[in-house]
Amino acid sequence: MTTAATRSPRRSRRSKPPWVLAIPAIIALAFLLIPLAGLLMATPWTSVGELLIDPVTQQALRLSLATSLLAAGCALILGVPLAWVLARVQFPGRPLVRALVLLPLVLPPVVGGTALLTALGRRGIVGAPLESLFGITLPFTPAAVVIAETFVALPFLVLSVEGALRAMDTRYEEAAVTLGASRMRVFWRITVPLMAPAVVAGTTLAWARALGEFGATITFAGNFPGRTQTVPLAVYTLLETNREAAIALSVVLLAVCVLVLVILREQWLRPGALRS
Amino acid sequence: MAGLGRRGRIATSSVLALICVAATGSCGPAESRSELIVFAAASLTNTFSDIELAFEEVNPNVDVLMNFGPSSGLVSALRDGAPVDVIATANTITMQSAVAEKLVWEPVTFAGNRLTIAVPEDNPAAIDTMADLAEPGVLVAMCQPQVPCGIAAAQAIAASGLKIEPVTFELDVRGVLSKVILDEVDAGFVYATDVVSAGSRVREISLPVGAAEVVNYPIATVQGTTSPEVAQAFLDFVNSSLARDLLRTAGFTTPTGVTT
Repeated sequence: MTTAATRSPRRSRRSKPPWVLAIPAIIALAFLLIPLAGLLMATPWTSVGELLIDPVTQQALRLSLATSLLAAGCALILGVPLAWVLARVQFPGRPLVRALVLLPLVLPPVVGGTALLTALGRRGIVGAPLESLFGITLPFTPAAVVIAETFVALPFLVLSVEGALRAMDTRYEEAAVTLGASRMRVFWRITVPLMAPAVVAGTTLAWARALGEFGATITFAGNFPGRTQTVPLAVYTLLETNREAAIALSVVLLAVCVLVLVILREQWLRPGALRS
Repeated sequence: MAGLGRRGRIATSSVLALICVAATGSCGPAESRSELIVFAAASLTNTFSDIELAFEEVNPNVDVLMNFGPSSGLVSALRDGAPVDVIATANTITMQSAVAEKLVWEPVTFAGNRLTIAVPEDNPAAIDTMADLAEPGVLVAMCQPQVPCGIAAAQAIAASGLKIEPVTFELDVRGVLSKVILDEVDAGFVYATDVVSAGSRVREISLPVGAAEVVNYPIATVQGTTSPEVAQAFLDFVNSSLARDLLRTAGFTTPTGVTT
């Protein structure tokens, strides 16, 4: 009796799940995995290499790699300070600001692209002065791709880093301050090392999101091979003309995403990873 | 494990109802209304929306569902098994590929259209002729090369001998038109009907005589449609004088050929 009572929490976790949970769980798993299986089965494995060295796919891969890395870099440079401010500075309306920062996470990307066009397009509130003063027009340039990708990717980094900062034990920082360290020194020597895992995870997630960006890119940056046609845009365009190449490119993106998840497994996906 | 309680059953049925609504747009007790799914080229967006309303007025028991997009994408969706009853494309080549693959029955040409150039209302790059599009710094939009408007634009550019380099290949003609309306490009290759539908927001720069590519719009019943009679009724309606008037008002021409 006593042994059963002490073991019961463990045993109930291990016992067979009730069918009301098991059946939907299996359906959910199949729902997520069958499309991927379909993609892998449709892949023309023998000619993947050939399809991937095609100039159109090469251009798209190179452009996607460059723009998504730049976007992840922009998200890192801008996102960490923003996350720090949101986590550590008390100011009126902070919950509202936090909600607004996370908006691109739930906003349809096409809406994001339209918003970017109305702000940074050549008739936009920022774009018009930019053109008249400096002669810079952003739409239809690789820079526009980076901007669109940063717009959708930034919240991932902010979310990750801010969560880590809020969960962080602030006593280390307080101790450093009482020992006479300057605020910058505390930030670089205590805060940065403590939040580093979350920064890495956030940057990787932001990069993956930037790599997969479609809606905001096609709306704000257009679709031109070698200049603004990233891999997702190329997949969509090729689906009608060269389906095999579209599938080969899709498999490349899939492989990259699996790689990202494997890298992140320890940092982010472990249950409770954010709280530690 | 002893079955679902009352609450559980209510929750389950409401979830099912939600799935139902999401999947079909309607559920509940059996209705006598039948659905007709029509896939139409992006350039038909406004006119076919009007034709849909007019058709439903005459046939109150039919609910027409329209899906607009690039012709090549529509045929591609059809090939992948999209549930479609009627399809209308913006050129005959795209439709012929569907005929060859036995996806549709013999099509009928119901309208014609003409390629042209649209510039924003204030014409920022001072475009007067097609030749101005070859000037450096002029931002030009056209359709991606596999859709009818892209094919027509590429032919017009090739025929002109001009070196026109677009900045974007939009997915369909509505994408080109919206980039022109938003004033983000200096000019875009669109159809005459798009200029009509945009009203005062764009201006038309006519292509030189001979360079204006003409496209024909075929419409066909999809093989394997579950409601061939309704599909045929819709085809007949599109060729009726009422629909012809709507098409003419929108700027479409009456087709010259018979059946293509």
